[in-house]
Amino acid sequence: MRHRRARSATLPVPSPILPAPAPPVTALLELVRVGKRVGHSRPRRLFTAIDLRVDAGSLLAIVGESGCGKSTLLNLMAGLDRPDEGQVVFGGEDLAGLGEAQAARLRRERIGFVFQAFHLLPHLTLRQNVALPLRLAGSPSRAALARADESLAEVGLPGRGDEAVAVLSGGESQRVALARALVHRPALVLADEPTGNLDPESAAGVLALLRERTREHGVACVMVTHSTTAAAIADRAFRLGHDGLTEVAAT
Amino acid sequence: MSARGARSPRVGADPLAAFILSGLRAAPGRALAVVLAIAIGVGMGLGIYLINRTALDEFSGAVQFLIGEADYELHAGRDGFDESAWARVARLPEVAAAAPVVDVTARVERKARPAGAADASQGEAYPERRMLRVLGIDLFRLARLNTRLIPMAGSASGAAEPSRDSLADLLGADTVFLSAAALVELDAQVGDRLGLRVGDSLRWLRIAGTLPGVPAGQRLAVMDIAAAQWQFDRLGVLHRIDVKLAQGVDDARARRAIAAVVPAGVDIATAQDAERRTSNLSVAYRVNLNVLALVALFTGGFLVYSTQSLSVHRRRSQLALLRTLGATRAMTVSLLLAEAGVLGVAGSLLGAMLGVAAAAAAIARFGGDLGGGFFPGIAPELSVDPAGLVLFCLLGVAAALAGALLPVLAAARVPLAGALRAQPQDVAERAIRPRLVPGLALLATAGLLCLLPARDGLPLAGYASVLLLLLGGVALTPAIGRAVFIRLDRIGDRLDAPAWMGLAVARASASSGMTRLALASVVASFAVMVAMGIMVSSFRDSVDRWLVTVLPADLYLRTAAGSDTGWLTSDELEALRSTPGIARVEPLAVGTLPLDARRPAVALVARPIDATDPGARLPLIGQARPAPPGLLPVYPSEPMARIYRMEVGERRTLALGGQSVEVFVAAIWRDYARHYGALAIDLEDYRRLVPGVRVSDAALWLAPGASASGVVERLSRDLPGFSRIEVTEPGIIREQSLRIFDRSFAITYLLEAVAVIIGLLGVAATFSAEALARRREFGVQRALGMTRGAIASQLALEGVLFAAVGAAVGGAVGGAISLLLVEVINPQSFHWSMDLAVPWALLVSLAGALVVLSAGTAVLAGRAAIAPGTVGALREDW
Amino acid sequence: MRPPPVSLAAALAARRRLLGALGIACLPGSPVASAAAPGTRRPRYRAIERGTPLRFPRDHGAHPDYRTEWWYATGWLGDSAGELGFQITFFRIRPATDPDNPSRFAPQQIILAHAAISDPAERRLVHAERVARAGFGLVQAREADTDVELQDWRLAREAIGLPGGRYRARIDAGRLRLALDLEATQPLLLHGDAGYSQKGPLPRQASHYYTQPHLRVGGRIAHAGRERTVKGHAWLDHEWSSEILAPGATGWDWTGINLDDGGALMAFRIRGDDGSVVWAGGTLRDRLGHTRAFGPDSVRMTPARHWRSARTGARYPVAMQVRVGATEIALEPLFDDQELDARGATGIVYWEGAVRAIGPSGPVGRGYLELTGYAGRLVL
Repeated sequence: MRHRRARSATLPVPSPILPAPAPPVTALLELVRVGKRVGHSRPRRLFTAIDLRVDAGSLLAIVGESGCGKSTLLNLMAGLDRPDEGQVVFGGEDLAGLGEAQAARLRRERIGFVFQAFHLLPHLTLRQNVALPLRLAGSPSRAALARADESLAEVGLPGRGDEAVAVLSGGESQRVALARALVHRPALVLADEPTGNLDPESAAGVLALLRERTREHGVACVMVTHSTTAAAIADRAFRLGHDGLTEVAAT
Repeated sequence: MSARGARSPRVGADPLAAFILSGLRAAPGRALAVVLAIAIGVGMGLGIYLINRTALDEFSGAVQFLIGEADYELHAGRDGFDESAWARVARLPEVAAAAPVVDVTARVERKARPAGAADASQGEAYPERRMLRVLGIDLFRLARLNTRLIPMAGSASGAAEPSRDSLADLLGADTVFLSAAALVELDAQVGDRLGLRVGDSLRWLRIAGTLPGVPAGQRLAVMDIAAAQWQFDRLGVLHRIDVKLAQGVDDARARRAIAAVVPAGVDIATAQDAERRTSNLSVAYRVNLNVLALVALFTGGFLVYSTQSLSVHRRRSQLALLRTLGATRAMTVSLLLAEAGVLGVAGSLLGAMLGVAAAAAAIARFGGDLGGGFFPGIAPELSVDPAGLVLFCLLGVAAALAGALLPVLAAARVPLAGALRAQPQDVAERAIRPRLVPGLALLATAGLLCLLPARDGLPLAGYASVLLLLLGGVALTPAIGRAVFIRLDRIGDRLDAPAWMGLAVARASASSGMTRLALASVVASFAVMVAMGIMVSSFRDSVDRWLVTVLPADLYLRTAAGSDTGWLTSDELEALRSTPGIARVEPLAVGTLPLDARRPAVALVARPIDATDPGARLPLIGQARPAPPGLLPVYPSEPMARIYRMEVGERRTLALGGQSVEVFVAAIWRDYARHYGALAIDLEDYRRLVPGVRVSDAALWLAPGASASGVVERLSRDLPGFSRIEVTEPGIIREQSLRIFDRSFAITYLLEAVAVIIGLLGVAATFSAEALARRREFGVQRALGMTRGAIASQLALEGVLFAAVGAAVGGAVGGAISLLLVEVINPQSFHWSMDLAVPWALLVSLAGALVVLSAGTAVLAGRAAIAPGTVGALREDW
Repeated sequence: MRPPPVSLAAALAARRRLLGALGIACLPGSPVASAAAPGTRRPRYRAIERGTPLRFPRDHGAHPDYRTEWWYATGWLGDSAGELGFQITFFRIRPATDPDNPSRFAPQQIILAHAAISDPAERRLVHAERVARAGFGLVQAREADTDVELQDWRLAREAIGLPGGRYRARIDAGRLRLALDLEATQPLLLHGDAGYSQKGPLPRQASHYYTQPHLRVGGRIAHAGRERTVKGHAWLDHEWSSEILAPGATGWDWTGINLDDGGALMAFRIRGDDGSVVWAGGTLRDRLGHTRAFGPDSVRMTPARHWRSARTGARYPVAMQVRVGATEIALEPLFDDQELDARGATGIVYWEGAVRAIGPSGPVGRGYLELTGYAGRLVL
């Protein structure tokens, strides 16, 4: 892929002696030696010492076995969960320093989400579903709904804003979810197994759309998946294992 | 059916609004139940408030109107005081004007058109009892104080007939002037004659005109004071003197001067006092009804709690999505509260309509006091007061919000990580360790509050204590339940119980948010049932026993029943005594004794009382003490003793018959008939103080072998005027009294039914909420070889366990509340005590019914999880 | 001749509806019921009979068997500030209610009192009323001599110095107070036939009527926050009857004049529905004490000037030409607006004012003129 950059995923630790050269582009999101344990009584180490840098506009894929902690890693990036060690820095700010309300604000303004199970609200129309993040961010209702229609058009569902969620196919549902993830022009889209519930054909369509839309808007994207097909569209791909995050060559 | 057609949301609607509505739309039945519950609470509360407010406004309007421009109203009880006081008052230099008034309520028995002669045998009889309050006034004196009571001779429509001597009518000895409402009530017109019952005779009065100044709705008649004294056999007696002070005379000086010239026992009351007296008349009754309305609101709030718990539980993942998409906790909370608020507003609006309609209907049907007899002589029109309307609507919304608060706060605390996984229901709800401290704190506060005295005659602290007891019991239940279930679990293990039993107990002891709901619902509902059950049963039992003691005779004769002019003449009493078959006649006279200008007067009951054995006629509380020589023994009722702080053995000075009399409190007796108090006194003693006492009632003991019907037949044959006398047997009085009692407590039975529904709804909500999640669980159990029957048994046992623990805790809480009601709230509101009588059979059967219904509800609600094909659920996704 | 107790109703302060109550005093008695139900019996009023001699001092006192009675003092007073007219009236009425009522409140007798002054400075009447039933020692009209008490309002005669003695009048209505002593200077003047004064075509339409003219007055009057000591002359009528007005009468005109030469003149006419004169009468006593009574043929009262009240629209003949026998005088009011407007209280309106009597060669006396039935038909 043309946009792949030959750079280490690990961030160079600033040398105490020499001033580190400023990175060419400010990192959007950085994971610094992040570790996480699970379980209360007998905690088990899920992963440790993860370093990852997500630059604006880049698309990263993280693959791994079930239960290796891929989704947890996404939760950490979104501020939905806290690391047991290390730091998650979004836009230069350590998420650990954010309060509940500030984290919520970060999510509704700068992050979009795509889930395996779509998570569209069943009693809302497509337009209402898509407009939800804008309304949560305080946009006026009329503007939010108009913007939602544009966003639906961008994912190939023009003029279908009034439809109910129940009539959609899996692929269409995920497109709506993608429209919702992008409607408020976030800096980062976090996608958790976006093709997990889709047949291969729909999956391909959704992935193409994800690639195209994020690139067009310069949105960074982190996608966790166990599908190597999905990982293939990424600029860079990493494998999460017990030994940490290792970059794998994209096919 | 296309889903699009089925519930296509409104195009262009706001997504947040749509989210709120979707919560309601998902379970329209439950939403409706909540709306109805809130509506019932608001409607009841508002209805009672409006009825009372209307009646009270009207009544205090009447009081104000009767006082007019007078500074004071000098009044004594029903027996009045000597008229010579009037001349002394009128002569005082401090007094600018003094108007004497005779105030008598008489029964109107017949009506004759002008054509008919004023003959007692003519005219038509009123089929029902009609009472008329007649004020005997001195036109010339009153004109300076209250022009609105001045009569107009002739009919309102035309001028007086030219030949009619209108001064003679205004001062006539046989003329009376009626307010418009009284004319309507009596279906009479100017020119008609009314036959009024006075003692053993019927007095015919001509309606010579109207009272155009009297406000609409006031049933009132006015006649000349001399005529009233003569016609109603009240010669020499005044009931009131209205006084206007000379300019510049201060209150203290005026009171001193007046008190020096009026007989003892004449009260000097201002308009404010009279107002206060009016409101005191019904305050306890009003508050108690309002508290019942609040109980209804509480149940509404509890319904919101249980439905909102369920709704939140079902939408955990949706809420998690909102949070993930960036909604803060506060935003989530306000969205969910808005949802409850919509229900609250809908319920309140519906309730407001119900309340206004119910109040209008009740006032039209029963009058302003719902038949309680507190506000006689007025026919009010409903006045809807906007402040009350808003207040009760706000209360309805507040109840909905309060009910939703706990589940909503809990929902906002759900951890986000993992909530949005592909199969969120796989995430077991984390067991919550129940906490003891809040519940114990609530109970402790309740315990302290119930020790506080009443405020303004209202047991406000007692009511707060009841609420806290209920909440404390609910709060403690999870901990108690968990402790019980864990022990049961161990016992079950040891006993080698069937697998489904073990599973049921294990599940119950897991104590999730939803099991809390089931328990809380059962506790609240059973507590309300038990509390009301015990209170009503104690009250009824005490009233029943009281009735037996106060009705020892075989027959009772009554002549007055709400009027001042029905009595038995001494000839009639003598005739009764000599009637064969009657062994003993005990007459009874009733008067009033105003002791405090701001309180309703105490009833005075004069009847033969054996000073050596007062318990033979009065249901005594505690022991009687013989009066020292020279002191008059009196017997205050329990309410009187409480209100005026009287104790057995105490000496007091009371104004009886216009003189100050040294009395001795010989005993206190129980009385459920007059919560403003009653004073019993021996009839002979009373006659010595008040010559010319009129006997209104008599108790008859039959000779051995005589039959009641035989005696009544003989009396109706031999005693002229017997037709006006009501004769009743004690059994019938008792039956009527208890029927009235049951009717006035009917509303509590309704609330009990509502309480049962709350409990069952809680159980149903819990089991149906978990049914979906448990399909997988039951699928596994079936796959492992359990029969559907065993699973149903497991569900039933779970229902039984919740109901049993809930009923146990609820029973304890309800018992405590009933103690509060019996020992604190009733004595503080009505100043009477009662003996605790626990209706064990009723409570046990209620508990049994609750347990059985709960088991059934659990099975029904969980049936989806054990339907055929459940095994397939293992593969199902959300 | 005196007005019906118009001020009864005024004293009641009780609106129009009492208007009807006023006339009754002069109505024929209602049919008397036999001893039937309590309250239905009616009193039997005593009739006036010609030839009943008046005996004093007994006849100065009240006559409770008759339906109505009044003591009516009018006169001219003066001080350094000028002249003013006054009237003080006490009425006694026996209502047609059951006389058997044993109540001490029984309205066997009603007493009402009325006081007014005509002060040119006010340009209108200032008046006060009071009414009450007799009884309890507070309100009464004694029979032995003139002594009418209405709580602290009182008119009482003391028999000092014959023939008339001295009257003490006390009125305290707060804003209007009068304390006057009226001393007789002349013998009584009996009207008609030795005090029998016919008022209508039938002999029973009559009253007993005498006057104490030329009373010397001294005392104090306070109103509008000002108290003054006054002196003057007055005229006191005492009249009682059970039936005065003939059916179909609308009102009457009456005047009583103290003539400057010591004589006294009284004249009245009763007007019918159709404007005709139903009855008239008069008495003239000259300065030498010769008294002559005149019948309907010899008395004429002719309106000379009218005044229209802006308040009520009523038109009164406030100036009149009066002829009694051969004597002819003109009456000129002290001021025009002496209308007693009690519409706020009773709806009754009539004119009662101080007048000057003017003879062919100038003023000859002072007295009062009374004009009733001009503001709508007086309900009698």
